[in-house]
Amino acid sequence: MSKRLFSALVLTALVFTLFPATGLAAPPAQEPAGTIYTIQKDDWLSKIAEKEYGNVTAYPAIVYYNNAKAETDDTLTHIFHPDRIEVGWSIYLPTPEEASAFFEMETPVGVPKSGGRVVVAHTQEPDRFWPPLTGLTVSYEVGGLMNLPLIEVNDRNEYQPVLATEVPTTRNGGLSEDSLTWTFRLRDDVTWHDGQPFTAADVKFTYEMIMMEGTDVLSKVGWDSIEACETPDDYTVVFKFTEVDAPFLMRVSNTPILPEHILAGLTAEEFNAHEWFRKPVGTGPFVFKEWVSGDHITVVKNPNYFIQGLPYLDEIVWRVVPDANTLLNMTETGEVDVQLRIQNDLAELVDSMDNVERVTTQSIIPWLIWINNNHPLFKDARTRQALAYGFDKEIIADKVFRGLSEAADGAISPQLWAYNPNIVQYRYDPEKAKALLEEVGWRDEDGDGIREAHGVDGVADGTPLKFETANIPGEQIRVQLLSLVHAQWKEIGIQAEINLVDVGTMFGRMHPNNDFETSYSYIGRYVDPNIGDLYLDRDRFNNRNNYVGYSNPRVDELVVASQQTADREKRREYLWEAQQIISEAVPQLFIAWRANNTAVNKRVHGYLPTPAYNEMWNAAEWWVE
Amino acid sequence: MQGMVQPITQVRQGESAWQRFRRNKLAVIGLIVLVLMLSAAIGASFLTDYAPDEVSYDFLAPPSKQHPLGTDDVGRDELSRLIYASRISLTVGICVSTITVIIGVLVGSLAGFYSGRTDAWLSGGINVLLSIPLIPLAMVLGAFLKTNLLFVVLILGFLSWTGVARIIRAEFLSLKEREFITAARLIGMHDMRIIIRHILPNTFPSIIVAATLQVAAAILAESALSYLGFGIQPPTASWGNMLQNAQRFFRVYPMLAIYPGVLISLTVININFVGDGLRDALDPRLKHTST
Amino acid sequence: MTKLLARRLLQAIPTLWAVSMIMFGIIHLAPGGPLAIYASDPNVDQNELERIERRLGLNDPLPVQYAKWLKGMLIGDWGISYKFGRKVSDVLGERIWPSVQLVGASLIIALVLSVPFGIFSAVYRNRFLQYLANAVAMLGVSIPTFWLGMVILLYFSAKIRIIPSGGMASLDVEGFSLWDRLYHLIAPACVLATLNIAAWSRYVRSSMLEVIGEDYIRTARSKGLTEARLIYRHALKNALLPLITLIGLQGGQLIGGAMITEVVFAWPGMGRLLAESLSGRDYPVLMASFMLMSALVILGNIAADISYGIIDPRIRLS
Repeated sequence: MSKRLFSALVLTALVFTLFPATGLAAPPAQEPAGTIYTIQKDDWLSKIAEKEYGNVTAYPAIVYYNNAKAETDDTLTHIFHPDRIEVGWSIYLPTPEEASAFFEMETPVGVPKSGGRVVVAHTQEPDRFWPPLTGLTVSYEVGGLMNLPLIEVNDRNEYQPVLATEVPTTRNGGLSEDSLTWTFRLRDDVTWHDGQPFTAADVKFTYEMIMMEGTDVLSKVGWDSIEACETPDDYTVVFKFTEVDAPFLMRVSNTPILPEHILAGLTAEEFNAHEWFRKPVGTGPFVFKEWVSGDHITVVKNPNYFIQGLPYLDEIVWRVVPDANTLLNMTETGEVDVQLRIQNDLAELVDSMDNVERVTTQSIIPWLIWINNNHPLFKDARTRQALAYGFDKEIIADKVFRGLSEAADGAISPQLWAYNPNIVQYRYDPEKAKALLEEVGWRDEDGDGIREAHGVDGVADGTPLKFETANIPGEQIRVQLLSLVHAQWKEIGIQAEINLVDVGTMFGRMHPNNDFETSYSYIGRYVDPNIGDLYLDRDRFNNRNNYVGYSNPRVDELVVASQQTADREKRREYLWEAQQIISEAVPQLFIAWRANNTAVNKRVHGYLPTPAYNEMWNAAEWWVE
Repeated sequence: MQGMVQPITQVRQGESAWQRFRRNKLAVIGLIVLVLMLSAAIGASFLTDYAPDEVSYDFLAPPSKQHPLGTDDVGRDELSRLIYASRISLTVGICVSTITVIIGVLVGSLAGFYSGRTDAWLSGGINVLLSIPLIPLAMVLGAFLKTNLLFVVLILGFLSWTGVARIIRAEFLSLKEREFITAARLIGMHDMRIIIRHILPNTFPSIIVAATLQVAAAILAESALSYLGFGIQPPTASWGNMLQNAQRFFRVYPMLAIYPGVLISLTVININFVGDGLRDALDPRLKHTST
Repeated sequence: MTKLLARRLLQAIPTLWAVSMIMFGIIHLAPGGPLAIYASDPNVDQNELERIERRLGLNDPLPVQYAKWLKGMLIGDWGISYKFGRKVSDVLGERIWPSVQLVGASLIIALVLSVPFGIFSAVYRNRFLQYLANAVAMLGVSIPTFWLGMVILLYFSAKIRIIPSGGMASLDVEGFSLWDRLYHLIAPACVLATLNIAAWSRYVRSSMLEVIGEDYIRTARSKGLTEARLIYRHALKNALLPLITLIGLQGGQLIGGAMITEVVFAWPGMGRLLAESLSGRDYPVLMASFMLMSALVILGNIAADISYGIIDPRIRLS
C-alpha cells in the first residue's frame, strides 16, 4: 500500500515538475477547471474549504469532486475518509461555482445525513461493558458507544481528548515538570444519559472503584502509585503520583468514567454484579436499548450528546455470529453492514462481493510463537536463533497472510514512536540455522532426519530436537502457518508438531505452570510502547505475564527506567537499547502484524479504522445513505 | 394388493445367508465399493507420490498432471490427503462401531435379561452416561487431552454405546416374555445359554442396523468434532477435518469441500447398503419361515 | 403408573449426582482456570488475577469446591457467572427457551417425515421406490450437519435469498412474532432434523419388517383386513415402539447436542453458551448447563420408559 502510494507520489511529482502544462491541461476544456492542490503539513479538508470557499462545511464538495476526478485521473488520490489525508497527496479542489452547485443538489452526495441503522457483526459477544472488568476487545468496543473515557486513541495512534478538554502535556501544563502530577480539565457540557451532570466527582469515583478491594477489576497496576486524586472544582481532576507512571495516559484511555450517582455506596459484591455493567447509563453518543443474549445488542442515538449534530445514526446493532462462513453470507446479503476483523485468507472473498468495500489496516498487535526459554531444549539462545533463521517470515507474510500483514520482528510496532529499526531482523537462512544448531550440539547422527543432542547443555545425549507448538483451534490460517513453519524446520532437522488446545489451556500451561514447549498466538499491545509485561524478570518483579521466562538484568533496568520517565526522548533511548538486546536473545519468534480487515457495506460512510483496536471509536460520525 | 410383503414368501428353500445376500444388488455393490476403499486406504503409499502433509507454496492450485485433484489451501496434494484421510476416517468408524457394539450388547443384554437389581445398576450407569451430551463432553475432554486418533476413537466409542445398549435392553425386555423363552426356562436351561442361543440371535437385525448406523455416526461425529476443533488434529488428514477446512473456501473452491463430503456420504451409504443386505440375509425369522 | 413415575424420578437423583461428580471432576482437571483467558491482555495484572481466584475459591481443594457448589445447587443458588458477572440462572434462562424452540421444531419435522418414510420403504421392499426412499434416507444420515447447513445458507440465503442467514428474529420486528420466529426457525430446524429423519425412518422400517413377519399379522391378513388398515392398525403400533424411546432420548440430548446447528445458524441456544463457557472456563455456567441438560435427558428417558409400557403391555411394569 505505502509502496504504491509512494510511487504514485513520485510519479505525480515528476509529472508536475517536467510537464507542468500537461498537468494543468488535463481536465477537458468544457469543464469548469478547479485547481490541483498538494496537501501540506497541518492541513485539514475543512481548513482548505474555509480558505477556498469561506465555508468550513464545504469539505464534502472537495471529497465528492476529487473522488469523481480520481476515477479517471491517476495523479489524484482517492479520499476514503475526510479526516484521513496525508501530506503530499494531490487532490482536486472544485471551483466555488461547483462547490455551491454541489450544495444545491437535491441530496448532495457525500454529505453526512442523520438517521438509519448500521448492523455491526462479529463472532464474539461482549461480557461486561467496562474495560477494567473484561479482557474482551468487543466489550471495549460496544461499551465505548455508550460510555466514554477522558481521552482516547485516534487512528494515528495519538491521544485525543473526549471528556477532557485537552490531553495533559508538559507544554499545556497538564503534566507537572517532575511528571508526578497529571491535571485533567473536563468538558462542562456533558450529561449522563439519565440527565445528571457529569463532573470531576465521577472521575474521582471511578479511580476509587478501581482501587476498591474485592472487586473483579483485573488490574490496579499504575493506579496504585497514585498518592491522591483531587477535585479542586467540578471540572478539574488532579492525580498525584508517588512515582512516575509513563503509560498512565494509556490507562486513562482504557477507563471509561463511571456514574457516581448510580454506583456509589455499593459493596464489592454488589458492584461486581451490578446491572449497570450490562445496561450502562453513560455519557456516550449512543444509549443502551436491549441485549438479547447470544443474538444482538442494540444501542440508539443519544439526542443530548455533547457534540452538536452527532451521532448521525439512529441505531447501531451488534450481532453475534459465531460462524465465519455465516457471517460472510450476512455481509453479502446486506444483513450485516460492517464485519469486523476478518481473517486475511477470507479477504479475497470479501473483495469478490459487489456491495462491500474491504478496509485493511496494519495493527500494532503481533502474531508470535512463544518459546519456553527455561525448557532444556531452548535454553541456549543459539537454538532459538536457529529457529528464527529456520523459517521464511516474508513468504509467510506474503502467502499465508495474503500480503495483508507485514513481517514483525519485535513487540513494538514500526508505527509507534519507540520502534527501533536497527534490531536484528531474522530472515530465512537455513544454512546459518544449521550452523547454529551444530554449534550447540544438535546433530543428526542416526540419519533419521531429526537432530539429536550430542553434548547439549542440560539435555541427555540422544534426545531428539522434537517438540510441539500449542495452537488454539478455530482459525485455519493458524494451522496453515504452523504447518509451513514446521515443514521448513523439518528441512533443517527440527521436528515440531501442532497440538490443538483451547485458550484457557494454552495460557494455563504458560502461566502459571510454565509447562509448555512452544505456543502460537497473538499478544495484545497498546499505543504505549511499554514492554515490561513481556520481559521484566518473573521473580524479581513478580511478573507472571513474562510467559517465556525471559530474564536479563540490563533489560530490567532499561524497561523500569522507561516506565519511570514521561520524557519521550529518554524513553525512546531506553527502549531502543532494550529492543536491541531482546532481539538478539530471541525469547519469542515474532511473525507478522495482525491485519485489521473490515468489510464495510458501501452504504455506510465514515468508518475510520484504528490500529489501536477499537473499530467503533468514531461510530458517532458514521452515517448511511 | 397381495404380495406387498413378498420378500418373506420369496425366500427359497435351503438357501444360505450368503446366497440371500448376493441377491441384494445394492448390498453387493456396497460391499465392492467398501472393499475398494479399504484397499485404497491400506495401499495409500502405492497410489500417490506425495506425503499427505507435504506443504508447498502452491496454494489452491487447480488440477494438473502433478496434482490430479489440485492442492488445498496450504499447498498439499488433495488426492494424497483424501486417500490418507480415508485410513483415518475408516479406522474411526470401524473401531468406534466395534467398541460400541461390544459394550452395548454386553450391557444391554444383561440389563434386559436380569431385570431388578442388575438392571437398575446397569441402567443407572447407562443413564449417567446417556445424560451427558456427547459433543460437549468430548469437547471438555479434548480441551486438555491431546486429541489424536486414539483419543477420538476412545471418546466416541465409550460415549456412544449407550444407545445400542438401550435398544438391546428393550428388545430383551420384550423377547424374554415370549413363549419359547418361558419354555426354555421351564426346562431348566442355563441363563447364558438362553441369552446366547435364543434371545441374542433374535436381536441380530437390530444389532446390525445399530452397528452400521454407528460407523456412519462415528465418521460424522469425527467431522463434527473437527468443526469445533477437537477432532483429528491437523496436519493429519481426516475427511472430517478436510471438510471443515474447505468450507471456508466453498464459494471460491467448492471442490475442496465436495471431495471429502462425497467420500463421507459414499462410505456411509455403502456401509448402510451392506448393513441392510446383512440384515435381510441374517434375519432368523426369515430362516424360520423357510424351514 | 404413578408409582413407576415416582420411582423413576427418585432414581434420577443418584444419576444426576453421579453426573455432577463426573463433570465437576473433568472440568476442573483441565489446566488453566477461568482467568487464564485474560493472559493475552497486557493490561491485566496476574497478581490481581490470583487475588480474584482466591476470592472465588478457585484455590480450595477440589472436594471443598464441590461441596460448596453442591450446597448452592441444593438451595437453588446456581452461582454467579465469572464471565458475565450475573446469576447463572439468569444467563441460562435466556438461552434455554431458544434451544427448546429449535429442538422442538426439529423433532416435529423429523417425526412427521420419518414415520411415513419408514413405512413406505418397509412395505415396498425390493422395489425402485424403496431404493429411492432408502437413498434419500441414506443421504440424510451421511451428510455432516455443518456442511449441510453451510450449503443451505449459501443457496437459500446468499443466492436466492428466501431465508435469513441466521439469528432468531428480524431486527425490524418489535417484540415476539410467531411468523418471524418460524421464518428464522425453518432452516436450522430442518438441518437438525435430517439425521433423525434418516435414522428414525430406518428404525421404523426395520421394526415394521419384523412386525409384518409376525404370525398375528398374517392371521389378520388372512382374515381379510385391507392392507392399509393392517399397516396402520397393527403393524405401525408396534413399529413405533423403538421410535418412542429414541424421541425421548433425542429430545433431551439435542438440547446440548444442537451446538453445531446453533453455531452455523447463529441461534442463541444452550449449546453455544456451553461452548463459550467452556473456552472461558466459566465453571458455574458449565456445571449448571450440564446439570440442566442431564436433567432433560433423564426426563426424556422417563417419558420414553413410561410410554413404552403403555404401548407394549407385554412389558412387566413392576
